[in-house]
Order: sequence, then C-alpha cells, then structure tokens
Amino acid sequence: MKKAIIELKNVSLRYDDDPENPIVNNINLQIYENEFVTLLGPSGCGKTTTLRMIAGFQTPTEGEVIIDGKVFNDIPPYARPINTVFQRYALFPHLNVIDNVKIGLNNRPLKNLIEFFGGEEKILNEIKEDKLAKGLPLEKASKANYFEINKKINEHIDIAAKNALSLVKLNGYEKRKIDQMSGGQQQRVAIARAIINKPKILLLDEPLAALDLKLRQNMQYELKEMQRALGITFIFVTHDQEEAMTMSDRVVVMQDGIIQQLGTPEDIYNEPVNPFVANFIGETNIVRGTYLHEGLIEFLGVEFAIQGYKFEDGEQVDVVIRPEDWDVVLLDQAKLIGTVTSRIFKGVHYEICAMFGDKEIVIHAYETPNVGDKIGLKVDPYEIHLMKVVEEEVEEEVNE
Amino acid sequence: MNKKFARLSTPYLYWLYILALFPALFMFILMFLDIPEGLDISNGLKFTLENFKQLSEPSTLIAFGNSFLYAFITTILSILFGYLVAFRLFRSKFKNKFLVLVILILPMWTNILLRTESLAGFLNSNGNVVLSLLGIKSAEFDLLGTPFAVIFGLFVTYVPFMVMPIFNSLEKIDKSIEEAALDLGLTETQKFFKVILPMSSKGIVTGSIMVFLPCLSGFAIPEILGRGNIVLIGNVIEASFKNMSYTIGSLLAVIILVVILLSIFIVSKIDKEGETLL
Repeated sequence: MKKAIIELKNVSLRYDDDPENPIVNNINLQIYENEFVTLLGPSGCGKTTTLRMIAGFQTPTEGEVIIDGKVFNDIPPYARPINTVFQRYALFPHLNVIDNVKIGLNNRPLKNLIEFFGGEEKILNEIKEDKLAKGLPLEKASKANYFEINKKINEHIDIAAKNALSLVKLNGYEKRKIDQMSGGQQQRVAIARAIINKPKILLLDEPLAALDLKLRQNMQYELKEMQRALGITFIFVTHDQEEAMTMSDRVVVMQDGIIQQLGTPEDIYNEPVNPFVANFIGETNIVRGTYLHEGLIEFLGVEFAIQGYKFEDGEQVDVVIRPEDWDVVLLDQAKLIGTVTSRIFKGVHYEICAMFGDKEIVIHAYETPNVGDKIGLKVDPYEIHLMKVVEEEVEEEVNE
Repeated sequence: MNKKFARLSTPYLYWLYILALFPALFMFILMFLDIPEGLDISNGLKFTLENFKQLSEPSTLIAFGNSFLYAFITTILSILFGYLVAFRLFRSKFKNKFLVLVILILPMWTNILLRTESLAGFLNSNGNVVLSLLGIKSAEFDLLGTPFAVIFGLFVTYVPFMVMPIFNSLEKIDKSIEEAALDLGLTETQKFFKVILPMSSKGIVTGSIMVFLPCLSGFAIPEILGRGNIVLIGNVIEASFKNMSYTIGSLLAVIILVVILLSIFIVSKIDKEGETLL
C-alpha cells in the first residue's frame, strides 16, 4: 500500500452569501507520494478552489485537509511543505531572475536553512575544509562564527538557485529582469522558484494555459520528466483533457464541486462512468440501448456482442463508443449502414459524420467516403462501453 | 494625435507661452541685470554677476536651509502617515474606496489661504473655539509662530499628495503576487518588507516629490502659521518682489525652478509610465 501524502476528508467550501451552492461539495481524495495527479474539469467546477485549499489560501468550511498525517486546515500557507506555480506566474517584478528563485530560501531562519542544507555538522565540516585549504592551522579552522556560517549558507543558496535554473534550462538568465523574459521563460522561472524549496508537494494551477501549442507540448514533457527526476508529488489543475491525459498518473474529473470520476487516464478515457465524463474527455458517441442479456446488447436497432458488463436483463443503458473505435467496412459486412453528412480533414484522419436513422454518429477513419454516400460500420465487442442511465436532466444537458 | 484636435490646443499653447514661458525667460534675464534701487534705468541696462553675491548672504542661506529642512521633515512625516492611510485603505474590504479618497482630497478644493487661516485660528490660544468649548483657558497653548505650527500646516495641507500615489501603486499589486510570497514561505511581515514595500516604492518617490516641492517653494503657510518667525525661501522671494528688488527675486525663483525641474526629471526616470500618478 502506497503512503497517502495528502488526504481530503469530506471537504466542502461554501460562501456565506450562497450556502446552497457549495463551490466544493464533500470531496474525498487521497493523493500518494510521487504521484502526478491532475484535477480536470470545466471552469467553475471547483478544481482551482480545491487546489487553493491544499495550498492554504482558502479554508474549507467543512472537512479536513490532511497533509502527511496532520490536519492542516488552519496552518498558514508559509508553514506548509507545499509550493505553487501560479496561473499567471506571479513573479516579483522588482527582483531579477535569480533573486526571484532565491527569495524563498533567503527568507528562512538560519536554523532552518542549516537543516535544509544537511545539518550543522556538515556545514561546519565544509567551513573547516575551506579554511584548511586556505592553509589555516587546524585549531583555527575547527571554529566557525555566525558570519562564516551565514556565508557558507549563502553559497549553498547560490548553488541551489543555479541548479534550479539549469533544471528549467535557464542558465545564463540569472541577472535578467522579469519583464524582459517571454511567457515561456517566466513560466520556467516560476517553476524554478517553487522547486528550489524542495517541497513535498508542488501545486500547478493551469501553468501552461498562457503558452502557445508547441511550447505547451514541450512543457508537458518537461514537467513529467521533472516530476520523475525530483520525486515530488505534483498536483496539476487544468481544463485541457489532452494535457491531463499526457502527464497524469491519475486524473480527477470534477464538475459542480463534485468528483465525477477518479482513475488512470486509460480508465477514464475508456470507461467513463457517466455522460459528462464521456463527453468531457475527448469526443464520443453516446446512444441509448437495451441490455438484452449477458454478452448481448441492442442499440440503433441492431444487436451487438459485448464484453464484461453486468446489468439487469432488459435494462436501458447508455452505450459509449469512441469515434476512432468504429471500423469502416464494406456495406455487405456492415452491421450498421448510414448516410454520410459531412467529412472534415483532421490531419491524421478524417472526421466523418453520418446519420443512422435519426441518430448522428461521429467516426474517425482513414477512408474517404463522399457526402451522401452510404457508409458501413462495425465495432469490436471490447470497444463497446456501457454506462448506467442517469437522471433525464443531466442527460439533456449533455445532448445539447 | 489627431491633427484636427491638435489645433484646438493652440490657444492654450499661446497662453502657456505668454503666462509661463515668457515670464520664466524674463526672470532668467533679470537675474543677470544690474538694476539700481528705485528702478532707475536711465543709465541703460548692464549685465552683471553682482546679484549672485546675495546667495552667500546668511539670510538667504538660512532661508534655503529652513526650506529644505521643513520640506524634508514634512515629507518624512507624510511618508509615514500617508503610507499607513494608503495601506489601511488598500487592505480594507470597504467597497467604495474612491469615496474615501474623495473625502481625503475634498479639503484641497477649498482655497489654501482660507484653510491656513482657519488652522491658524485653531493653533492660536486667542479666540480658539475648540479650547473655549473644552473650557481650557491657557495662553501657554499658543502654538502659532512655532516650528511645530508650520510643519503641522505643511503636513495637513500636502499629505493627500502622498496618499494618492502610494494607494495607486499598492492597488497595482496583484493578489496572486502576495499569495506567491506566502506560498514561498515568507511570513506576513517578510512579505510586507520584501515584496509589498519595494513594489510600492514608485508611489513613495512620486508622492515624496509631490510633497517636497510645494513645501520647498511655498510661502503662504510659513507666513501665516510662522508669524514671520520662520522664514523659508518662498518668503524671501515674495519679500524681494514686494520690495522691488526684482533681480534678487528672479535669481532665487530661478534656482527653485531648477530644483523643481530636476525633481520632475527624476520622477519621469523612475516612473516611466506615470502609473502612480492619477
């Protein structure tokens, strides 16, 4: 069993003026060490608020935020073993790059810093060696005053800052002013500024939202690499499902302050638990079907073989089939035959929309049927996913 | 700039030339002229550097020293109290902060002489309404004519000029910057001194110059509240012109003008976008 580093227990947050609609509603979540967890959801779903409660900028109205076994509800942000990379970076404009990176360490008490850099004994030893190297006698060298310790610590901070900058590939930018850096570079400074403190947990609040596509993809890779190399727990907030899929060990899909689904990217993509998750994570087709008996389902008037779902015989279910899971086949081999209504070139594949009766289905394929042509479809049993039908209301919202 | 509208400013520009630029030039010439007492220029005008001797006169030096000292003390007091007011306002959850600022600058729409005269009445034991109401009868309470009265008058008059730019620079600090400071382990005190204070320093510089300059060159407040006991350079200039020694008056006025222009130059260097000014 892995060790939980953060635990949210029945956490809710509501504002005084609107207690009926909580921003975050009774969340339970465990995050383990060295994990890359993404909170994913549309804007206003409570993901950023959840992050801010972990960071300590907001206090939950109910429930407990537990970090490393201790309840952290009322502990201020500066006393938490957590650092944050903010959405718009929030760098200090009056400091240059290296001072921005060093500010966290520079403002810690000396005692704390000595611990941070390996303990008193190690620091004293280093001072001794330095002095011996300068040719001082052993007797003098084994004593160190406050200023010498301070100087040594500052050397350590310098080295740590340079290391942090080289980790984000910003060597040589030490003396630059913040407003002379591009968005991507500022992003890197923000990351260096956070990881230099060696937090147990790094929170990232949509850090890539302001970057262009190419840069964003590069940063996704680098962040994942960094997380592996540093062994820090990353909690990442985004509304971009692709970003979440690429980087995360586990994804938390949220809506209306509630966790909709929690699982690995594969689980969430392949087996969404409800229409919201299915629609939010990539494109999908959802059709109403009837569960006939084990291994057989009927939808769009045709019976299909399925694998591994258990419902009541004759129960209505939602059938989820991803656009890329359809196989376009010759008409005489097809189980479903429809009429193509549109075809859009998407680079790798074509996005084809076709009508089957009164239901429109989206298909990703390499074939190039023309608009108005008949198209034949087949689907493998393991590509068919079933969901329990949820209340009408939610479903209507999804269909719109 | 639209050329059509640019032409609308022409009358204003001419007024500026006539009422500001031309007199300044005239003063610049006057300070090099030798004009005997009684303005008798029948012997023709002569250029001379004789007027500059006035600068080494003790009376002038004391006036200059007083001006700088009083302006300096007022500026320091304004920074301390102005920052407190601006910071309190910045932190308050009060919705209509603009209203508070309006109340703060409201007295500035009253004539400065009227305000100073009423302050004088307040600081004077004779006929002091406040003291009478409190039932205190004390001739020792007469503060008029003391350095305290002058500094108090300067401070009360000019502190709004400090509050405004500081408040503006504080308002520009993003909430997330403060959160970042806390997040990186800075305590509330460290956050103030390492982040908020440096980031509002532009406002302090702008405010300081806006307080320092009128204190340096003004003459009404020391005249009324100082009862002639405290002479600032503004009073010397006023007296010079009153006594028709235009050359000396011009010389001193030009020196003050140079100090003012230098200060504005400094502000424009520090606050390039003029963002702390209203």
